[in-house]
Amino acid sequence: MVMQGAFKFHQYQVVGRHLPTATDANPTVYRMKVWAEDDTKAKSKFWYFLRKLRRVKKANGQIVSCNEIFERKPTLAKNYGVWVRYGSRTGVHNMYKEYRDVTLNGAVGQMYQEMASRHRVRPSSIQIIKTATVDYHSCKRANTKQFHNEKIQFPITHRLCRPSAPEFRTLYKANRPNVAMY
Amino acid sequence: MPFKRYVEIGRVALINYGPEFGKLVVITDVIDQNRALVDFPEQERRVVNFKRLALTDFKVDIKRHAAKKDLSKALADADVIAKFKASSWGQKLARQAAKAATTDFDRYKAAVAKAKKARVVRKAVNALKKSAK
Repeated sequence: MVMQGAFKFHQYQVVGRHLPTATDANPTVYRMKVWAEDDTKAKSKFWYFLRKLRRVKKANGQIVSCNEIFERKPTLAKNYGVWVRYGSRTGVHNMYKEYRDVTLNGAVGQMYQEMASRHRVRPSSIQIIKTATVDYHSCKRANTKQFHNEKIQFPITHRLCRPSAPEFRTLYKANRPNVAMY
Repeated sequence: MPFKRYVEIGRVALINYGPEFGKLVVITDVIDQNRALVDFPEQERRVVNFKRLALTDFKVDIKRHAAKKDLSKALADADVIAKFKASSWGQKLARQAAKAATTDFDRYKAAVAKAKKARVVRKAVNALKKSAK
């Protein structure tokens, strides 16, 4: 089993419905895919969104199931499109972002990191509207499209000089680092 | 100075940091500017950051995201593992590994041999000095 990486945000499928009542013995069952740090938070997010969409809340509803969704092919590089709604300091905006990653959880993690760094948006202010694996012809961002090359080739321009393990770090070094590659 | 070693599909690299230190891998796909999908016979295909890779001079001819058996065949055809071991980099790694695996008895034997050689050399030097005077 390939290590999927230590994701902060996991994808869950949460299924829930209104509690059966005298008038409605078989309420409609709703399914939602949410990203959360764990399954408790996933259920909480499920109720948050479902409350906004239907007349049901946690007090009069029940979770039918909550399962984590894992990546089908975690060793294949894919292009992920993430549609995001977020609250900035002055308003609410929608965004479409593209990421190259190996798993959807990884791409969503990248999205949260990028929103925090570029726009100072905290994860609590971000709602994921939609995610999709985007095929090579539909990608919009030049940054992802530059990797759509069968004969991709680029040099590493800068050699990273570091000891092979943290225990070999020393405070003083005899020579200045030489970052020339060859 | 033009670059000679490129990140490309088929490039053989050595992992030089982390728990997989010292393993040879082949780049089978480039995910983004920091990470590559990396594979090798007997190893799982996985993601490695370029910061952990040291590119070698060797490259195999494989397609993007090559299957394991195609990769093994390409490596065997190019005989990359043996060529790398025979290169000066590979020999240096072998020497380092051999030295790390020496026992105290081996080090004692090495010290005795070094002293013996030094004695012979010093004897010859002293003889030459004496005859030059």
